[in-house]
Amino acid sequence: MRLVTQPSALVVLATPGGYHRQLAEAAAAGLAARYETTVLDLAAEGFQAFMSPEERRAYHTNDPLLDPIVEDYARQVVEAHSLTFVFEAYLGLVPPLLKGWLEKVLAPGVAFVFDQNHRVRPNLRNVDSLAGVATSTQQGTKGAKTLLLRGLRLNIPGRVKKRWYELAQTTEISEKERDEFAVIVRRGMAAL
Amino acid sequence: MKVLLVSTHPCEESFNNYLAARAVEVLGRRHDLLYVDINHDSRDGLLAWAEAVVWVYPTWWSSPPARLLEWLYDHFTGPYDRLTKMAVVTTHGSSWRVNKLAGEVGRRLMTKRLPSLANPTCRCRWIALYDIDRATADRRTRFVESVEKELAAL
Repeated sequence: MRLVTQPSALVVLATPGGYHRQLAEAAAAGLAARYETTVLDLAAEGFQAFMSPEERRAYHTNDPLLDPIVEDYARQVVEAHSLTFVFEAYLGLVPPLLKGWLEKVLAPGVAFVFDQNHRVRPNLRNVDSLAGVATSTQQGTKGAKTLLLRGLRLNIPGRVKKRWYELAQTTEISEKERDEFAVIVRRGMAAL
Repeated sequence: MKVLLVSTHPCEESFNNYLAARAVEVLGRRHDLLYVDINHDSRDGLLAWAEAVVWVYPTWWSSPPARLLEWLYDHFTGPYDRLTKMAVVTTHGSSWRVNKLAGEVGRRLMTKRLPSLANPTCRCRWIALYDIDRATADRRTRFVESVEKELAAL
C-alpha cells in the first residue's frame, strides 16, 4: 500500500492511428508533471462501442456494468482527478467509439447517481480538470466541445478547469504544423 | 411521399421500438414507407431514394446513440436534393432544462446540420419526450398520441 499517492489523470484516446496516439502521448506528457497518468486507447483495447441488449437492460438496475473490462474503465473514471479526451470529430461531434464509452462506462452510479426523487446528481467528485484535444477534417469540433465541456461537465460537482485544443482541416496541414500542435497540447496540459 | 424511417435501440421490447412501430403504422397509411432498424439492417443508398426521413432513437448524453452516429457518418453524405422533410422522435432521460444546460448537441445535429445537406426547403420537426425515467404511464401515452398526430401531418 502506498501512503502518498499522486492525483490521477485519465487520457481517453478514441481515434486509432499514429497522429492521435502522438497527441494523447503529448497530453499525457504534459499531465505527468502533476498527475499519475494513464492513456486508455479504446481502439487498441478492442472496445465495443455499441450497447448490447443485455447491457441496456442492466442500465437501470443496481448493477449496471456487466462487463468486467467496462467495470475497470468505470473505476478509472471515478478515481480520476483529470479527464482528457483525444479524438477526431465526427459530424462535429465525438466519434462513435467515444460516444459508446460515455454510454457504457458512465452509467448510473459512475458519472451520476439518482436521488430519492430519481433526479440526476453529479458523481465525478474527484475531477478538477476536463480537457479535449480534437482534430477535424471539415465540420469542426463545436458539438463535441459542447457535449464534453458543458454536458459531461454537469456530472462534476466541484470547480473544474476546462481546456479545448482544436486542430481543424487536418487533411490540409503540414507535418510541421501537426507537430507544433502536439507541442501546444503538451505545454498547455503541463500548465493546467 | 417516399418516407424512410430509421430507428435504433438495442432492446426489442423498448419504448423506442414501440414508438417506431406506431410510426410505421401511421406513416404506412399514406406514404410509400421503408423502415430500417439499423441494429439489424445495413443497407446502403436509401437516403437518395427518400423524400422524407423520420428518425426514431433514444437521446443519450444529449445526442444520438453511438450506433446512429456511425450510421450517419457512413450513410448521410448528401447533398440530397429530393429530401424536403425530416422529423425526429426521441426520448431523454433528463429534463428539458438539463438538456438546455448540456447544450442539446444532438438536436442541433439533427435539426440544423442534417437539413443543411438536404433540399434548401428541408425542415426537421423535433418531437421529444423529456424526463422519461420519471414519466407516468399517462404522460407516455400522451406522448405517443402526439407522435402519431405529428407524423400523420408530415
